[in-house]
Amino acid sequence: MNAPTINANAVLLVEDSGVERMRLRAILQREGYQVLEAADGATALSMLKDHTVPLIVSDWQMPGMSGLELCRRIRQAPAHNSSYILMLTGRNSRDDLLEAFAAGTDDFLPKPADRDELLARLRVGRRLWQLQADLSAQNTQINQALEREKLAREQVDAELAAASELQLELLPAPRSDFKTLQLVHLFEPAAGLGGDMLGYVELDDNTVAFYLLDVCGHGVASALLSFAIAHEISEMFSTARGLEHITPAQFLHKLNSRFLDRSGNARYFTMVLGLIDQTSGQVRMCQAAHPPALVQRLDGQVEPVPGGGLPVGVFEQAAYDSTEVTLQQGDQLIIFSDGLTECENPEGEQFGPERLNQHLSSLRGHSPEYVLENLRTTLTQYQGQDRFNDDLSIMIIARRVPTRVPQLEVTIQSESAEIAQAVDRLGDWLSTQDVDHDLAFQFCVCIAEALNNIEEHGYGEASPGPIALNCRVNSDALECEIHDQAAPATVPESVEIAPGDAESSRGWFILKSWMDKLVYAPAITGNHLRLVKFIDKKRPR
Amino acid sequence: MNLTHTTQGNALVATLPERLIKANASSVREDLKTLIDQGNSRLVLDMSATKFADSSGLSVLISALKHAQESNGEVVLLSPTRPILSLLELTRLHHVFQIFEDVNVATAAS
Repeated sequence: MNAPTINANAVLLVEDSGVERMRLRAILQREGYQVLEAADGATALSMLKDHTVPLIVSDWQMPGMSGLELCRRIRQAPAHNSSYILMLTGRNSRDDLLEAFAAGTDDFLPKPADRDELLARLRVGRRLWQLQADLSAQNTQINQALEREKLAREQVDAELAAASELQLELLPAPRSDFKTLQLVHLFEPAAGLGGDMLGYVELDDNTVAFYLLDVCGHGVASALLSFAIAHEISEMFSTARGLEHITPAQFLHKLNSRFLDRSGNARYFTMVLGLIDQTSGQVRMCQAAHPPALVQRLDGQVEPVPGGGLPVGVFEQAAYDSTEVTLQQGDQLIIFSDGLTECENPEGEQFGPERLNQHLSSLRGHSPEYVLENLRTTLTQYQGQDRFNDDLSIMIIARRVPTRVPQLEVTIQSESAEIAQAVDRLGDWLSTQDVDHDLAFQFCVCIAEALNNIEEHGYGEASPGPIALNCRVNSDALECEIHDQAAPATVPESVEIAPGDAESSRGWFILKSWMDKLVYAPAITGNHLRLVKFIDKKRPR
Repeated sequence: MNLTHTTQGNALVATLPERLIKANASSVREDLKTLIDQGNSRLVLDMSATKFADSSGLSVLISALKHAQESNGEVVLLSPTRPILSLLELTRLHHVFQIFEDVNVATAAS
């Protein structure tokens, strides 16, 4: 149905008496109204199918449909909600009035209607109608504006999400294949897009360079600056390859000149940047207004790394000094942004450096992965929520104890029969390693799931390819690294399963439920999947 | 037919293999389908020997159950080992299957 056309100057006159109708029409027309006439309710209703009129003047008592009934019918259509209905009547008992108001009448006029009074009341009605019409037009405009805003907002959100994904992609993969070091990190931007950034890279086969920085503020502007700095640092690192005597202080000095803020916006960043000699464990590092890094010794002692300097990008003349600290075997260097110590519980109390030191001390002897996981869990429990209000980044560099970790290496073709054999072998091997039977079972099921997935979705069932497994029994975790050269898979964010489905994401669900860590790194040279199951009964989560 | 099976009263007891995995999933699936199609409306899957299963193995159980239910039949599990039970519980299949410890109860109940 078409929307009724609105005639802003019209009055619908409903009156069964022809004489009275003529009199009223004359009054109204002289006043400049366009008059639509109906001799009964049914005619009036049919006229209102195509017209919306601001004013309706109706007799109460008419043969057929009464004025009251007409009024009720008119109000049933939303299009006529705002029409002003004036009822002409000889009835004026209290109950009559109440009934008429309930039916949707706006006003009354005793019959015979006085000319001036009729016109005065219609002016009021007209004004009310106009107010409502204006409001409704404004409302429409506001709704349209809101809709446009919402669309714009959704677009911005989508772009932010894309940027946030990009930021995560800039982060390095956890590394355990350095000569003597293991590096892991945690990166939790507060607003999807963070002002923190971190990275590490091998400068040569003995030196690993690392950094962690925190641009003041968070959100888009901070993130953009952190991208630029990260890019600059990776350039600096790549040109520094093979240089013997470069120091962290020199790097910071360069960054300070490069990112010196001349805008007066005081946009600066704090950072830790260092170089590690893998053979000696010697670390040379610079801390620019950053929370001091901590060294967790093998015996549980926790020592802050001394030395500090001005934030980067504020003062042209800022000087930076390198500090030296040595990581013994089993020691870990923990670098973090202030989001860690300044994490607040619901009472507004910060986690603080002391609590952190004590906590790290209690975690002595644990793998960096375990410490990281535990810190995250501890912090979320402390603050009572899973999302962090400030950007949080933590990097742990552990100098490994060169004990021989029992390991099993298997290379197979991605065929069901070979996968079954490999999982069998793994199960047999674990049973010789004093690993809890249930734990070993869960680990084997998950590895079977991972291998099946590579066979099916990575290589395609028709064309097998190589899969290499390296399984280790560490002091506190079972670990398996799986390399394949298949098409990259997508690890689903979250997996729902319905119990009755014959085929579903049950495999991923099992993997995600039973493994404590599932790190997937697709690359051109092949995919790398890392599964970790903590052995400790007191594992976090 | 690779599955060992015996008739006990109105029920057919089939012994599932030691491993219920992707490598043998389709063969077990076919065998179970055949048994159901032969008119065995109550199928008891003896899992006491099954030490290992993966998600493909689990889907064999579900497709057998669905197939049986199409002809108003029933599939129940008998004596799953503890690790297998933990897998069934994790994937909430213990709500879908009736699980029995006693073969006489498993074959008789309905």
